[in-house]
Amino acid sequence: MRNLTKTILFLGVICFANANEKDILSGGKNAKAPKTGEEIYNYWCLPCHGANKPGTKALEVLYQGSLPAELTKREDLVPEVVEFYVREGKHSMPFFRKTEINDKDLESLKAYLSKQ
Amino acid sequence: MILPNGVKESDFKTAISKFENILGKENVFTDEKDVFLYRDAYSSEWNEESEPIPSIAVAPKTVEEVQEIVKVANEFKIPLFPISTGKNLGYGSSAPNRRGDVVVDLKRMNKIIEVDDKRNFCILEPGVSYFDFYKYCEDNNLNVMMDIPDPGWGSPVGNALDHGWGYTYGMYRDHFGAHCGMEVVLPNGEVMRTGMGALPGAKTFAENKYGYGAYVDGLFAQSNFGIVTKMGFWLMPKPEYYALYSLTTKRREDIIKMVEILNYLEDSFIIGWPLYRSPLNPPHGKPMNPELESYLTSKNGKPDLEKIQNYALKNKIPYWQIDIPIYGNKEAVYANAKYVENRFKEIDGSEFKLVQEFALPLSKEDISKMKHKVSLGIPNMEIFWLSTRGEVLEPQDGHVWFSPIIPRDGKELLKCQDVYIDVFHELGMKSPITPFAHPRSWMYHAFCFMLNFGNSRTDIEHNKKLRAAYRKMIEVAAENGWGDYRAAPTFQDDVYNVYSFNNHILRRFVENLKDAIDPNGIIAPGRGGIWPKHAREAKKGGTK
Repeated sequence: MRNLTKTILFLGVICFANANEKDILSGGKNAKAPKTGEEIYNYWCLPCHGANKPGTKALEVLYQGSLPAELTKREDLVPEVVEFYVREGKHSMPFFRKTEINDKDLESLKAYLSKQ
Repeated sequence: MILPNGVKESDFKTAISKFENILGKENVFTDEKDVFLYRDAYSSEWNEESEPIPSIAVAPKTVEEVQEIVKVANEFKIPLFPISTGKNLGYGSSAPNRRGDVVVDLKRMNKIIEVDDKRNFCILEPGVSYFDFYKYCEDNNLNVMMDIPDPGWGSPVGNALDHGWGYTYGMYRDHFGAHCGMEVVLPNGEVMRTGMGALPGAKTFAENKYGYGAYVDGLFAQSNFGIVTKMGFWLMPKPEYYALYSLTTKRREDIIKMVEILNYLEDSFIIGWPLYRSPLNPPHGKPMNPELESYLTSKNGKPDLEKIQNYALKNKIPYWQIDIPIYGNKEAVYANAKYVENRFKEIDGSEFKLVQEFALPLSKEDISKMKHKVSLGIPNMEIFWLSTRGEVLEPQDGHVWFSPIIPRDGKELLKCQDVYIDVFHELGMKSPITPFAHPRSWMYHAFCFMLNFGNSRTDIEHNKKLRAAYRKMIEVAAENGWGDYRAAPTFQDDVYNVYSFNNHILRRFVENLKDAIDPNGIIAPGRGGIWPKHAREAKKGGTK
């Protein structure tokens, strides 16, 4: 009886493993989430706020040279300002949900941009 | 708290605790400040009572969690509205169609399940972005590219489901057309796979679209029959060589012959996506030349075509310029370019020249130099040039797209310009369309003649005028046989209303399906202009 139980369990494991192997949709690799403040900036902000990008160009027009238009070149950014724009957006920049930039990531981003 | 439509507060509270049990508290967003992140930043109803703000949002990670959510929604008849990466800006973003409906945010479902660069397909979850996919292919040195839209943070799954388009060869540019195989959580919580996927253990989920029997994938595009949790896509192998050419012509009417030739070249796979435009439009952010601008209204408030043409000829500014990419190996690219050049010789005064060329793989420097990164599947956010500041200090708060499909025909384009200009003249508004406005050529057998209405996050009156103008445009376009292919939630009913052949039989047919498949009306009521039975009856009674 013990042996029979063992055999059933063994067969069960084999069948289960086969079911998974056969199903090409059961695997998968999560898209790599950015972790550090710099990675979060590079992933979410840089495509618009990098050199010669739309967000940077917009800020160039606004600041007229009184402040650097690239966020990473700013020395006056404080965490509250970074949080405000991430959660409120401005003009055509939309705000970001917590499934995109969660509170922990936002802390890292705030620290990164405030230290530049 | 905003409540979901037709749901009692006590039931909703019970449902929220069930959602929290399924997903964990941190993935159920109920605080107002978190829920407000699901507003449409580009809403033309911003801060009005009708603005579609959800009651709460829930963010599952697995298909099993989606199933559980749908079962709870059925129990309490709670309407759900799925979003993928939620970046459908200009067409609704991450907001539901209707105020109060619960957003199912699929951004955390971000698995890249498979990418094959020998058989050229991939299978993705809805939270994967174009940036994610591109990075995965580059990191793993894969020899495939995905046709992408603007902007790069969009979702291949979401974009395809919303009939999005891109920038390479025609067959890949149709993102829904390039999808192959779906996994869907139905309104009763069951999981279904379509096409070959219905065969357990199928090896060709993302390679053969049709499987056996009726093809049902179309039901899940721009609609509300289920929550799509996986999709396959056909991919284009990277070419060995890419060259971008520029064709210019001198006269407005030249576009008629140009379109004819380009249609042939495109449909024969000799060229990729032709980017039509007019150099009479100033570079981004610069004002139009005042002399030229004055001719837009110098004929009793309407454009003086002769003066505009003379201005172009006098200043040696081409009336049209088409950017033409050619893919292949180097020899084939040059041979095709020669052929293309010869074809255009029949247009008097046309010029054809090489703009830039690259051998693949591209270096970082090559990528930074590329004029149209999207035409080699390289995602970016440069579309945002559209509505950020130019040389003025009054940027838009976003935009709402008006996107009718017109025939791929130069004569019809010129007619379309005239019709639009007349409408704006009647409305007493400055026309965003000029006699040198260009068609969008993503649809490989049609044009889209779109325009963007700038919306405001501070001026409700401005938005009201926008909505009136938009609705007028839908009507006028429909009278001319042009129908929108996509629209923001505010206008989806209006758009579906003009697809009215035989007393709206298409909508009535789809409503029958909706009533059978989703009797509780819980999946995205109103999405694509399709409403469940009880909402239709309520609307007839004067409420919505």
